[in-house]
Amino acid sequence: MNTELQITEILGGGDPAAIDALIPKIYDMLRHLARRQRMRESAHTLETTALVHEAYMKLADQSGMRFADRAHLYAYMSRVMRHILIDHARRRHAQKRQAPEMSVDVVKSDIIDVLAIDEALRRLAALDPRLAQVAELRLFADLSSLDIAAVIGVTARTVERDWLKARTFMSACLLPPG
Amino acid sequence: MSVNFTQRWHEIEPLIDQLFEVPAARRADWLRRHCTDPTLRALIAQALDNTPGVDVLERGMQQWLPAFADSQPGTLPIIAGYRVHRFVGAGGMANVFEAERELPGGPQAVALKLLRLDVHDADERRRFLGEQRILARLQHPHIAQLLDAGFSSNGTPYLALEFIDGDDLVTYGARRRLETQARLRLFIDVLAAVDHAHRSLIVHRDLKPNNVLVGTDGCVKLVDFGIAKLLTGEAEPTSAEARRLTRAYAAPEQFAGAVATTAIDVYSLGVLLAEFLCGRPPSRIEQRCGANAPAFEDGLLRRELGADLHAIVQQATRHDPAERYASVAALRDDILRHLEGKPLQARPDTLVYRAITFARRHALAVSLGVSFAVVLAGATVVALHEAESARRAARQAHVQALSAEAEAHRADALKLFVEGLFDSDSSGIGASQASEQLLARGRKRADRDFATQPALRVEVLALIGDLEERSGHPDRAQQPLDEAATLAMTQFGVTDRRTLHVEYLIAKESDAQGHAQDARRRLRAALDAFEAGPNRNSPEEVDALAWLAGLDERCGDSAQAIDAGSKALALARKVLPDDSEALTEAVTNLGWIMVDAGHPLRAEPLLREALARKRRRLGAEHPEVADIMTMLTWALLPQGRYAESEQLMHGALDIDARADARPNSHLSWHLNDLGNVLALEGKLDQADALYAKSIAIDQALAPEGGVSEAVSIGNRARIRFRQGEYAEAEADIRDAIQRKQRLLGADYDDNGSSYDHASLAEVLMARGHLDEAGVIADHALAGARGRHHQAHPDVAFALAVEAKLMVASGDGQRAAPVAEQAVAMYVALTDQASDKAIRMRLLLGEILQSLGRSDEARVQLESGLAAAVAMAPASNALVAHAEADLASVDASLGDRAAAGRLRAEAEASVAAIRPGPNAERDATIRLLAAASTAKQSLLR
Repeated sequence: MNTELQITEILGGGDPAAIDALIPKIYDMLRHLARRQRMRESAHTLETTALVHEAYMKLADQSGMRFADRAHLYAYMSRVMRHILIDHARRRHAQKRQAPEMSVDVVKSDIIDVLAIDEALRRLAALDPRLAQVAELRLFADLSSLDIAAVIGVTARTVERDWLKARTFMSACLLPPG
Repeated sequence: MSVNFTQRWHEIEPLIDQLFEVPAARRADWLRRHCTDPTLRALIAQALDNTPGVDVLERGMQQWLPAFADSQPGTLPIIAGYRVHRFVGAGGMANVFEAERELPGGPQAVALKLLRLDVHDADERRRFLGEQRILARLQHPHIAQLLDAGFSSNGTPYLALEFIDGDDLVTYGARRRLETQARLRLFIDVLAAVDHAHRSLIVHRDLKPNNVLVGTDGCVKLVDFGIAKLLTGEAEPTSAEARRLTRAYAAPEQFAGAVATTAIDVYSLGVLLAEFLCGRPPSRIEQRCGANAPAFEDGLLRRELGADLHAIVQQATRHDPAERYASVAALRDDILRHLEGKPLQARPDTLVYRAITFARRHALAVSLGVSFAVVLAGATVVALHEAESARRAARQAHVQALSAEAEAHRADALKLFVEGLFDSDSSGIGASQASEQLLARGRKRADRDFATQPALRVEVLALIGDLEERSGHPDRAQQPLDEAATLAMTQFGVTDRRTLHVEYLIAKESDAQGHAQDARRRLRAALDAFEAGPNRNSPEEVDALAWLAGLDERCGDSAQAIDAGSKALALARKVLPDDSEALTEAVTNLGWIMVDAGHPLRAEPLLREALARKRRRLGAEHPEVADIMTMLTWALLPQGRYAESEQLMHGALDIDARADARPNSHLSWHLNDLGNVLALEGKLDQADALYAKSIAIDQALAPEGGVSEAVSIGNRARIRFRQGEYAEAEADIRDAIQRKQRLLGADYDDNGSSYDHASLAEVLMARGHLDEAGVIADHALAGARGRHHQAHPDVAFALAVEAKLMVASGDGQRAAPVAEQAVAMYVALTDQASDKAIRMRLLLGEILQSLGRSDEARVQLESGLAAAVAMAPASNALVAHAEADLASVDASLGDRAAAGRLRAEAEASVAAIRPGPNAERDATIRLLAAASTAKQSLLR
């Protein structure tokens, strides 16, 4: 299955230069979100989600895009964020390896998982690109089922169903071996 | 995860569809009742019950944010060898930083690109580094040079490019409000750069305003050449973004995922040209526009650009790649025509018009360069030029019309052929294996696809032969090259540039197989025939002449070699661009010939020029720079400039070490040559260790034994000799000779046979086998004289051994004129400072002294001592030897004060000799002891 083609289609629209210019902004946004979240302790889950959305809207408004483009923007942002987080996890992982005195648990909980999830997503994409896309939007763009439904043009219920499938598949991937 | 889960997904998925309708709490129960297959049920239940996994998936992004916050103080990446100054920007492919590369000569500003590219395992890293090496070879004044690549401390791949401070092309044009003519002239530079890359078979794939920068000096520089390929090597999600971003400039076939050819760059250039000229971005960025949508609204464009330029843009951006300009050069030609007010190739489509245009076009011959850099180190661009004569075109316009059409097909066919080979190479098999497979496939395709097209067949066969030769299989090169030569002769004739090119390749191949004499005769004849024709002074002649010069030198004809080499260089300076690789090769070639012919002083400036050129083109850290540094020591050593040479060799080896390559023949060569430097400096143990390292690498590379190993064994023999270990020296030198005979033929005169035999004679003499030594020395001298008609170091050395033998047989009277002859030969070569020239003077001095001609001896010895002391640094053993000799001459001339002073100096020099076995030191000590006994007996 050619996931690249799929993504090319999804991301087909949008002014390249404008989207290009968005990348550092997304990066900044993520950093900003992360800092704010840390200041308020990590329990405020709902608040984080709200912040993410607020930031998306701001970005979308700044880029002056219509709704159809915003859908692409979401897809694109989820992909960028996935990569930012993966890069970051790898880097941390490498640092941990060089600093063995640090707790292995930390490594497991927040580092390995994002890499494992990335791997699970790849496997899923090979099997069913749409499921992978739903999962990616949910995991890395923090979108609700409704938003995802708007992005890929299906009903929210279908998204929920797809998510259950994707989650089950990925959960199987995350099972310890043996 | 259990593989079963994926395999049985088609059964699992419908079950989850149904499970979705079941409330979460009742799902386990439902599953038990509705899924009868226990394995399947277990698989699903396990996944559903995997609470930690499900939790992580449900939490999503926010769980990773805290850790992310911790590590984002806006830090700059840490990369060894670079000082990273600031974050410049982020693109779809990379984060870009401005940085300084730390070089011995001072810092160099670079743009450091940290790629969003996952390079997990060793194979991928190798592929990445392999690709970047190809890109690093791409050099052009209008291409931002790729300087370095590697992996940051956390494994992120990075590229370091020449830093360009300026605007993109479109912004530059707008800001300066450039006139159309000025824009076109700027664009010609862009095209020259892309054309150059295409000749090296590197396709940009991502041409757009952001990748065409204009520096503050107004000089155009293309960036990110071929990097798109680096990023699209596999199904990497980021590469999809990279492709998406270039949508507005992408050729229609790119949407369909077609193989990247030069035609896609032609397309992008057409779009870029239109945008640059009319200042309007391409319209195909709207979502509704697919691959088939035109980049510009046609009528509007025609109004804005005028008919000619509109036609050029149209021709470049045709939907069907076959209908576009066949090459970037053709696009450039048309723009030049427009600038000069000549009729365009783009406009009329009739055959007659094309015939006329083609006839005029001959001067701007289309050429296709192919480089096999993917698999072969050291590959240079081979240009397979073709040009039909204007005269013939005028006479046979009709025939030419057909061939004009065939020409476009030809270029395409060749490009596709070679690119087909290349693209299949990216699958990740080992390089040598890959190259063998590629070439085998190439031979098959040449037979199959080009059987009925003799002209194309010539070029493909020549290409294959050349690649075989350069991948170390001259034997396999012979058959395709012979066939190409026969075909070329009948198809094009002897005065055609293609024919000469094939002959040049044949000469290289036959040279590589050890047939230097045959190669030389044939190439000479080919060149004579070519020069009689209308195409003389073509670029192909540079390569052919340069190679002929090398053959002349190897066959012992230094005068002809220097003549041909100088001609090649003069022609190269005349007809080749100043930054051309062939010009650098011609400089290097003549430098090497000068060294070999015994003219180190004439060689030095040439090799320095070659070094500067290589550094300029490749950066100071390139392995080819290390090669030239090594060659430069060949010119310095005969001048006694040891410290400088040693420094150069350490520099060369540092480059080798940093190049991060596996041990290769260049490393072995450089180690051997550092050994030579240290041997001359009297650091015999260290030299010995380096030869051992070099031999170990050679053995690993060629377990069956190669010439390089034989050379190092010969050098080791010379160390043994100087250490006084004559039996070992004899074994080694005999071994070296046998190996070379096996590899190069019993009489390997073209490769220093006389020098090796003279060395053997010297060793045998030291072992007391005077008779055998005499026979071999005579043989060596005859061989050297037979080859070299002029003064030559090899003849001088053979004479030295003869003279020594005569002395050893007690025949000083005969020895003196022989030694004088050798000294005169070094004088003729203006070589007074080399180790061998100095030793020759000492020998002559000793002979004269033994004959009682002390006055004459003193002249020789003083001159030898002065040269020995002038060496930098001086070899203590050689200086002690000269001082001791001179002391005894002075003593016999009655100058006791001078003799005493010299003896004291000699003793001091002896004391400074490095410990370890050293025959020269022992001999000098004996000489001093004998003198002091004589003095005491006189006093008594």
